[in-house]
Amino acid sequence: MMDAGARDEVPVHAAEPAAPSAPEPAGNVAEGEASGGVIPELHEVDVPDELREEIETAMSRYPEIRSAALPALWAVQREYGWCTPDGVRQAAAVMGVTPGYLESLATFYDLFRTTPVGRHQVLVCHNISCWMRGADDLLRAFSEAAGADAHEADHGGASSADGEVFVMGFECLGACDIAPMASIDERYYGPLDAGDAETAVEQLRSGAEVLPDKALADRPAAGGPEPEPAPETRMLFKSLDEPGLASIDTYRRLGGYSSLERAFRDLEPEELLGVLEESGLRGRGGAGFSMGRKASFLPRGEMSKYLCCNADESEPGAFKDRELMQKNPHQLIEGIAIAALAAGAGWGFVFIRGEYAAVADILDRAVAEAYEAGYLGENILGSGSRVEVVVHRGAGAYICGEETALLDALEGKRGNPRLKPPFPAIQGLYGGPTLINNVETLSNVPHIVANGAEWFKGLGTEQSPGTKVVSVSGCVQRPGNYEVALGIPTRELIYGLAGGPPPGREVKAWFPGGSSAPILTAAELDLPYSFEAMADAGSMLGSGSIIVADDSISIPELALRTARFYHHESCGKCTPCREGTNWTVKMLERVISGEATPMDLDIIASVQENIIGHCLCVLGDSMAMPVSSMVAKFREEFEEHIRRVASDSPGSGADGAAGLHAQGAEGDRSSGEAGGGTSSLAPASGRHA
Amino acid sequence: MRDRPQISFLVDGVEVPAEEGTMLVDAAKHGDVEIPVFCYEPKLGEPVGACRMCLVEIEGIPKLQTACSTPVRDGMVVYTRTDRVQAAQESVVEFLLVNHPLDCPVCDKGGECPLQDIAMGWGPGRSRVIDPKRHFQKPIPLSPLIKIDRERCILCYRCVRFSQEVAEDEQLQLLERGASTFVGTFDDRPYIAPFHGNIIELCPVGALTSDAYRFRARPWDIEDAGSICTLCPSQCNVILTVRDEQIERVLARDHPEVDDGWLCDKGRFGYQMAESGDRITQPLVRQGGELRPAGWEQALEAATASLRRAGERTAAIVGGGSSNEEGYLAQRIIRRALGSPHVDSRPRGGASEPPRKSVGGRTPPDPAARDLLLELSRPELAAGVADLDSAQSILVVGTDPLHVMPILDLRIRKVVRRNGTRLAVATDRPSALDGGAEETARYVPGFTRGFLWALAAEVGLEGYERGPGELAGDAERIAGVLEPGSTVIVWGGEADRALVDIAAKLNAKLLEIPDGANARGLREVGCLPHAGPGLSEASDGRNAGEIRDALAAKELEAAFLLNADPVRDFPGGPAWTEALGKAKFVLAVSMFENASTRHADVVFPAEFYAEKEGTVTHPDGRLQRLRPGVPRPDGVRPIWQVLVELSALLGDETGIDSPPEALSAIASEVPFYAGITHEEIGGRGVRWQERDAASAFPERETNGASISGWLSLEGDGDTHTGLQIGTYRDLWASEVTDRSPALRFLAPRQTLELSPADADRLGVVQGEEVDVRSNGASVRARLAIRERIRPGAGFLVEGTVEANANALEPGVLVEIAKVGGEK
Repeated sequence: MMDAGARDEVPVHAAEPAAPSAPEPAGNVAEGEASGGVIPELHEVDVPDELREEIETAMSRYPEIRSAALPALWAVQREYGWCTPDGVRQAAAVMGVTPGYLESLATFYDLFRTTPVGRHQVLVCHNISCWMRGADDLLRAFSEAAGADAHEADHGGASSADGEVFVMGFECLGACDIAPMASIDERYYGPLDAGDAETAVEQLRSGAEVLPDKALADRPAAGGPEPEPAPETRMLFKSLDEPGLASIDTYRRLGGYSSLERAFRDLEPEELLGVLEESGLRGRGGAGFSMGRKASFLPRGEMSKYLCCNADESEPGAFKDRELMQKNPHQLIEGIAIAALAAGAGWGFVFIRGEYAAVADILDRAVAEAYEAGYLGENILGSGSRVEVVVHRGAGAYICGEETALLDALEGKRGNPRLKPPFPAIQGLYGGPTLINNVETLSNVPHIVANGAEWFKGLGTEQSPGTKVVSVSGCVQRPGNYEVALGIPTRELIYGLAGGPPPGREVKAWFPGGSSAPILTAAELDLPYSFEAMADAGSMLGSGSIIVADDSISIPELALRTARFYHHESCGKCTPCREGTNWTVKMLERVISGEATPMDLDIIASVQENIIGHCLCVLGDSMAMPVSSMVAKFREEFEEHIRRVASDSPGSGADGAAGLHAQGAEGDRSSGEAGGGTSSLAPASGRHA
Repeated sequence: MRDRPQISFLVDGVEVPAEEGTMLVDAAKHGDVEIPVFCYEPKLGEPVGACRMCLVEIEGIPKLQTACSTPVRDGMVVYTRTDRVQAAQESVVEFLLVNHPLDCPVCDKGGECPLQDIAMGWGPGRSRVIDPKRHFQKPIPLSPLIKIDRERCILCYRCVRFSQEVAEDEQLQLLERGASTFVGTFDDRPYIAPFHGNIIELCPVGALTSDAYRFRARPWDIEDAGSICTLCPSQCNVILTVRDEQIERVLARDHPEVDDGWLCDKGRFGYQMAESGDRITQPLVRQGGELRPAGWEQALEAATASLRRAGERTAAIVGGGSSNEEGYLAQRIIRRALGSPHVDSRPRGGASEPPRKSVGGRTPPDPAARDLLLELSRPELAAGVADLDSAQSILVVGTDPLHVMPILDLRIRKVVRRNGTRLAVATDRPSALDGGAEETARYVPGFTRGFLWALAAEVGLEGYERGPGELAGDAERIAGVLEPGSTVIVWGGEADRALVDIAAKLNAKLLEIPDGANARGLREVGCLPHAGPGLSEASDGRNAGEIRDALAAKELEAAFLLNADPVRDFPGGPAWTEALGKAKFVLAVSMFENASTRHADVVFPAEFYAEKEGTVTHPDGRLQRLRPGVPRPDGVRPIWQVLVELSALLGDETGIDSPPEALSAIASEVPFYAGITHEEIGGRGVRWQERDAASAFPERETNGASISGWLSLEGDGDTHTGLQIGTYRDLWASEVTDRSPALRFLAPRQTLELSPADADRLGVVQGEEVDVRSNGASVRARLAIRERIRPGAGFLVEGTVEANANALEPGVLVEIAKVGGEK
């Protein structure tokens, strides 16, 4: 038994005191049903030993115990198949928190199930790149093979009658290179067709290995093992498909960890900061801010400082960090350790999206190897410096890629962005100064330390030195990650490397920096691919993810897909984003069903204007900017679509509506189910229903 | 409060002075500029900038900024009504209404709704939304006291922030995400927490409504009346919502130095007791063995005759809810008109915590008692509530604020959370504040004094003993938290010399959490056996416990119970029953018939606080005014007036003819209240320690005679093999709960709390019925296992309607017997 004393001794970070325990309820409501809201005591719940151990181990890994909330919910879900109310209470008792707090988290994150589901989980990506390549058919095929309701599967998930298979349409899983794809029991497979779906479901039911030849784990880099010397410039991707690169021995054999050794043995933090700043390395997560300068913002002196590696790559069209971590985890770990040393951070957290479970497993193994080799932990290589690295798995929320939402999520909260200032460099994780960098950014660090700032500046352009891993997906023949020097013509990326659209098709539009970038058209294909040129064209390079739409793609449908994603991912904290994304989706659904008028297009455009610049973080803008660009650049197509659908079903605007409501996300949420709640407090909609 | 430099800035072209760092939204008010807000509420802590209603334009910053989170700087140029800002404001209102049902005509908030006001003042005036809105079942109970209408909710998160950052119960949560987000609780269970009513007031729309107030009135039907809630020592400032001469609602009247603008649910919903049908609304006189309604004249005559007969063998017990004026007049009747020294207002009256075997077997000599009282009441040692905000450390010892003075619980949580104040808690029973404490000590039931001595020794005071190992270790840990020169000691229970010595040594201040809402005022106006008005010297009277025993022994003949129900509320309930049964005459002033009035011969109906005019004194010395917000029921008279009349009938003409005159009579006898008037007290009250008259505070008599060192600790009480019982007063174990229909569900059943180890040892399980026995007394209780209970200790609730734990002496060893054999 862990007694109260032991719980009190769980280390609590001084910057933010643990919440004093909740006032106890009054005498006779303390018992039974009514007591559910307060912190349960261990004797009131029957926690399986292994579950308790797992949660307590997680609690011991963080400076603050609430950071163990997501690991605890993961543990509950593994134990019971979903986050059962009893399981949540057990975790709450072990952690000494209210079960409501944990439920609030469980319902925020997409990967936690709060109702019973099938034993095997099949998440079918239905986001832009997969949709372009047949995701809707694939989801239907999985649903049919499992015998689950296809519509339900695309709106929160559905399980087979035998309880074996749960199928769910899911937002971008970060594997557009294998679109259309699915995550089956946390492992990625693709590209898949209807036949694969049927096979996979059979294999799941029979316990056989699932689609061995479609596993992402075994797929080589897009450019092949020996790419042409140009236009690819391999630095981060060097030796990417070297067998065993993920193991420390191979990595070291290829020269890995020599930068770390040099940094910890021979360099002062200030020297390291100088090299990083001098190199001109810009953040690869999207904002493009100088990595060295950002690190230099952290106050000096003795205090708890943190480094967070943003591995929550979730922008539709982005999948570079996944491949970097999956194939070369030690490059990242080496970068983290060096950057932590430079910033004076004693802890490095890798916040990796929960969908990347297989990659997180690889990272976990690599971190363990690095500890074993003395590259992490206390007194690294006898330098007296300490860097602890923890791989923290998210649980399905795009917003956690926003740096302050990431901090909240890492602290065990709902991933809501914070007001800035204070900026994380001053007051970040657990209230301490925090440096947050993207996976690719940190992966660059060992190379800069090894070769020097001057060498690095010799790559790429003056304003954007170095290489960039670009994810190209959608309507191209060779989707994948390509490492290039920034500034190469976009056409060369899309046509030369990625093979361009299928024969007979033309590029109609493209997102230069993930789905949140305003779209560009074929006329802009010859622009150099760089931060500056994309910004000048009214868009952005972002994290370097190109999604190509060819002339078979309906822009209104693309707009709806895009808006739905941000609507789904809006955290709900601020009004313009929460309500603006929601309203935009409803209007676009009317456009698709032909119920809209051209005036609605004006309102859609105006609503996007009302979102832009008014939100707490950039998520609202991330929908408003591309949707706005689509309506502006393809207005005729929108109007034509409305006219065509309306005339295709003469006098049946109502039928169109019924059809939509039978299929649409919002239609059925807002109609009719209000009375269906099983208990008095049940909401009429949402995942509880 | 830190002094911040005065600066000036321009808002909409007007130059406005402000304190640097004030949030723009507040600073702009000085220029008569209102910036609309929904989520901003400084009482909830740091701004969150979520609703985006307060976007303004600031020169030099390209994006619009939230005025709620932007501190003002010198020379800042701010625009709140430019086209750009107006467009943003209109768009936010339009967004908020995308999912709002606009059902104002049937909404309880209509007419006092910030969303209505802001939509009218800053909204576009028309809607472009034709799409379906989101739907929820509505309204549904969020708790037995609150209904939630999720369709009206605009997700400003004020209520969940209250639950998480103020009350810290963390029961109210956001569930789901994005546009599907809604406010709810774990597994849809009811939100039961003692402060949860505050979310009704925080809600800027009609999403959270009081079940008791729903559809009772529109804002134009009601009047507001300010007063002080005297249902507990917090003495929160309240606004009574009055319709047709009835209280329909109680709201907070924000006083930063008293309540921070919060109320507990007892204060918020307890007004219902005023309208209870069971209320006594005319005098009762015992005739033919039964209390029967009587006229005032008859009742006063009957009381006068019997009291005159008993004369100096009369004793008065003044209940904690009495006003200063009532208390003053009652002790005056006893002392002057009847010539008796026996008056007490303290349930524990000095003797209720029996001398403990482990405490050397002696009680303090009485001359020291007044000295101790004087020492503990000294103005220089007195902490105001607001001093908690600036203290670097707080020691809570011998009390759990949540149950006795709930608002102080919120105050302490606030400073721990926001200021990083170091908190140490030393109690016998686990306290609600433990979670925020840096150190906690858990001593054996009733052993506060032993802990204090050990602490006194630990901080280096001569003559105190550290005690045995565990106690010394606890004291060391606790002492390590206390910052010399910046500590407030929040204490409760029995007064002890060690408190004064520790406070002096640490240069700390003291704040007592007394038993009884106006306990401090009643003491200071003379309701004590060993001190008269102004804590003046008084001939030795008997304390409450001694009065009880003397009545039982027929040494005393008559008892005057003023707003007091000792059978329920004082230690030794059965003994009180016996004592009152043996008294020749019992006069009671009471709102209800209860276990004590059962023995009364004459009962005068009491006023509810909202009907009273007079004053009370907050535990920190703040005199506050009670103002009548509603008329008394027909047949009920002002008690001050009744007491003046009774006094005259008994031969002491007071010359008092009005509440201000009663106060001035008090002020003439209490030197440190000298000159105080209703006008000076006003709407915000005044701490007497901060007035010039405080210098007239009496000096102690026995100069410097140290009383430490004459006791020594023997054993730590931990060697017992049996179970040592402690009792505590649950917040809800009160008449207020029983008489207010909305609160009745909270009335506690008797519960025995045990550690898991003891439950195992005794072979009893959660929820099982047991009898707790000692010295022939027995209390039936349901068993509750709690991990934080100290092994060897068990706790029972005092003041329950059934099976009141005041039948048992605290600290005694008890036996536990299962009820109904094996189950």
